[in-house]
Amino acid sequence: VTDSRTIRVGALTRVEGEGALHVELRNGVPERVELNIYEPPRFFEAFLRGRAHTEPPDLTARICGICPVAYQISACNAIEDACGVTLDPELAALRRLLYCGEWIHSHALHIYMLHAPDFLAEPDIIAVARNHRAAVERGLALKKAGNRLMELIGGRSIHPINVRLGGFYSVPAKADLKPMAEQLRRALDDALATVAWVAGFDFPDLTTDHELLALTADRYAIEDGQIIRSAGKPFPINEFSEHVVETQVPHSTALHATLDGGRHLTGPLARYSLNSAQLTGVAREAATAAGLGEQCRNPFRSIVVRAVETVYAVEESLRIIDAYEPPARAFIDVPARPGVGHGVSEAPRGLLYHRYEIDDDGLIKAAVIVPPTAQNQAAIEDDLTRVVVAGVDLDDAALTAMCERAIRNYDPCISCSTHFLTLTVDRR
Amino acid sequence: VSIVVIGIGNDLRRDDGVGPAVAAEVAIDCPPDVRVLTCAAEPTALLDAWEHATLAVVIDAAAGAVPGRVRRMCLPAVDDGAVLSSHDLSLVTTYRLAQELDRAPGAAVVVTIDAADFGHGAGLSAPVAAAVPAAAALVRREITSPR
Repeated sequence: VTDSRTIRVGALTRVEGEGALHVELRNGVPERVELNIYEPPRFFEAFLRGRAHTEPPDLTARICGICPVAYQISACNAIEDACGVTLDPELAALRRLLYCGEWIHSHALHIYMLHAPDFLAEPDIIAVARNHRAAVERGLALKKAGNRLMELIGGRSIHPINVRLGGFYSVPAKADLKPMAEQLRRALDDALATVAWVAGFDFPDLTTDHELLALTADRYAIEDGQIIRSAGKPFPINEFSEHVVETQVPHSTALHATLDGGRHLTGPLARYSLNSAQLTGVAREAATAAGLGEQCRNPFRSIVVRAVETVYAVEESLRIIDAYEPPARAFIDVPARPGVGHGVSEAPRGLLYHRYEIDDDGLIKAAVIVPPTAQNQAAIEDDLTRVVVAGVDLDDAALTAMCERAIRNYDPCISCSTHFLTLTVDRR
Repeated sequence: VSIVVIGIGNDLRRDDGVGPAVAAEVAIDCPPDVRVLTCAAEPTALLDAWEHATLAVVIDAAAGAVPGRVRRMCLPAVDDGAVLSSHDLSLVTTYRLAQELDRAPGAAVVVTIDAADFGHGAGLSAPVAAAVPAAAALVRREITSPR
């Protein structure tokens, strides 16, 4: 007698974009676990060809309404690399400040509106607001502080318009940042309360062994950095495509990426596990108080890591604002020159790589964009397999819910990766 | 008394820009106690705009069958059941959230204009552009009628 079952989730909720999940079990053993991304491909890399070298920051920002700054900054980093331009330190600090705004808003959104309902056994944010009102008010205030910071530095909170190659179209006066600092000081209290709140949730046991890939820099890497990994030898950014290889899989419109042929993980858990020693001040204290060690390998605890990173981003914002003097120039000229450039940054969901080839006319000849969710798909499917094995005795509804939670641990951005959910479990 | 008129949409996606276009028309000749603003359907911006308002009129493009058709409905009655939650909250979800947080306006009316074209680029399609004065007039009636 064979005991077979199939679990299908036709359209995953509380994730960005369109995806589904298909699980087939035979005698309790998972035979197929597939994350089906059916959102249509978006062809960004193709239509960037022939555009001016100044355009990718604004064009690629449109890939995502949640992390546009990540796309802008990785694009700027790559093209500035191709053109041999290094940013003034004051402008790099302003870029980091803008990026902190995106981390605060994106992490607050995921923690409170998308992920917390899973831990509170509530169906959605409305139910959470009904039963945990103070928490939701706090989350909204935190998200608002991030949005405001993006408006202040980027011109608006969705798809900022003030970013350009070499810096910004305009830079804020010192006095403009004073009210922002006051809002951020309140946000720091909210961020610390967030860590304490999520640290009290119950976390399913799951320890993963994905290789970790992240950036490292003089400070906890955000807007730029060098490759660091948990097992293999680090490599320079210009060798990224030789190590992180994207391949087409039949069950998804998103490319699957591997690191030297193996499964890897990027994002908050990777960043934290590889760089936790760099957390400073109250972020460090909050991580310790929340029970996080030097590493965190349980994806269900990613909500705690995001909360700690939110504290860090608020602290960093305050530090940058405190030291701020308006830069002597808002941008450096980035004249086009033929060649190839590579750019990376740490999007809220993980390492985002851009590569551009510029021709003799200053036009983009080739573009490669490797988003974090594409890199994390194999890791997500591996987590799902472990969750299905551990939950094989659950009924279909409970197992489906656990699978959806496993996916939301990653805050996957399907729109970004389509280049993502519906769950089907097939028990045979 | 505080009334807020909110035009929602992206004016770089053709008819999706009709919400801001109607809001701009209303703002030209608007009673002093009425605040007119435009925004993306971003939840914290809407919650801020709605808080303490006795009336909120939201103008938005609709995926309807008759381009240029102007319709009025009460926000709580809008059915957006087809919308799957994603990273942003839908207008109706944001309204329900506002109710839970006591930030919902006293009354919330939605004025929709059926769109013909949600493609890329600026500018409204002819039938939708032609509907702007009628939609603005409907909004003016809402904000000036005794409640």
